[in-house]
Amino acid sequence: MTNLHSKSVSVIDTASNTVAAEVTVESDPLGVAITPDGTRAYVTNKSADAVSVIDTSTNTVLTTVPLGGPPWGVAITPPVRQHGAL
Amino acid sequence: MRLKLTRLLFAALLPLVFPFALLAQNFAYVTNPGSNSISVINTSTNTVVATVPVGSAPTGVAITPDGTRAYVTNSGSGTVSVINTSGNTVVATVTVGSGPFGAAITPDGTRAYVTNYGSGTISVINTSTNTVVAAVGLGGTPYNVAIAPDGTRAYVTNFSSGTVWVIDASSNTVVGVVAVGKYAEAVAIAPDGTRAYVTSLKQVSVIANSTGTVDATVPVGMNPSAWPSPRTELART
Repeated sequence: MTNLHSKSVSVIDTASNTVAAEVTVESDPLGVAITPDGTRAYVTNKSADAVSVIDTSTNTVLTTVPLGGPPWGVAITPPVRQHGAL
Repeated sequence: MRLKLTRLLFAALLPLVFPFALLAQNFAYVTNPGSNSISVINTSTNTVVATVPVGSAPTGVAITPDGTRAYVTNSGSGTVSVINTSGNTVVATVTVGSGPFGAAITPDGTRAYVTNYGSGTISVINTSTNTVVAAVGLGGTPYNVAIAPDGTRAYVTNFSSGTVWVIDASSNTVVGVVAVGKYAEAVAIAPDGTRAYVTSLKQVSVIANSTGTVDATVPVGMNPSAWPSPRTELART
């Protein structure tokens, strides 16, 4: 979960409903989406013109993707298995 | 000649050996309200691979379960842009209400739900025809929307009153209203469908979907402001 104005993402343990970790990202984190395999979280940073990529196993920022302007929402495509290869 | 044949054979067999290696790519679609566009990020390389012009002030984005279409709410132009994700081009523009903000797609991919905060409605789009098949008047400020994994319920946050509307997705009628907290903004449903997580000022409310009551509240640290809500997404593990 992103905390706008605090440069952080809270990770909530849904079994205990407590905050399990706080991940520091860039300015004004707003949107968040998780990859289908659950290993990465993509967070839009509205005031930093960038997207932070979080490793969900370590809850650390792996990389930051620069954009040309302030981002807002984010969604990730599901795994698409094109048939015919086998 | 033999070398050429070997290369050809290798090229022909490669997809058999690594059938899914080339297909495991995911893309993140990011809305850019300031530049009226979508950035497409390859999540393997974490680079921007495409920029798609859409309508005015795009905010929300949702992708169909088969990954072929992205639905983008253009909050400044009262429309939804439908993007073909294989070519990253806009294939349809659907007129909805005023201030379309959030979007969600039903698990079967047949409907897109769009919140219109300006007109106090939600628009339901048929994704095969890209036409609005229902407009539901809610009042208040419908902000974001999430749909239960079994497709039976849509959960819509009301930013101005700190509540969540529970909507029957077959009849598109309101079947419940749940009080959460001031500035209710984002909502996500657990993959097993039992809980809805709703962000509001300095907290996350956990709704038990079977009873429609809040059974836990998680405080989160943040500074109060005019636009204070945290946002939420559940990991699918």
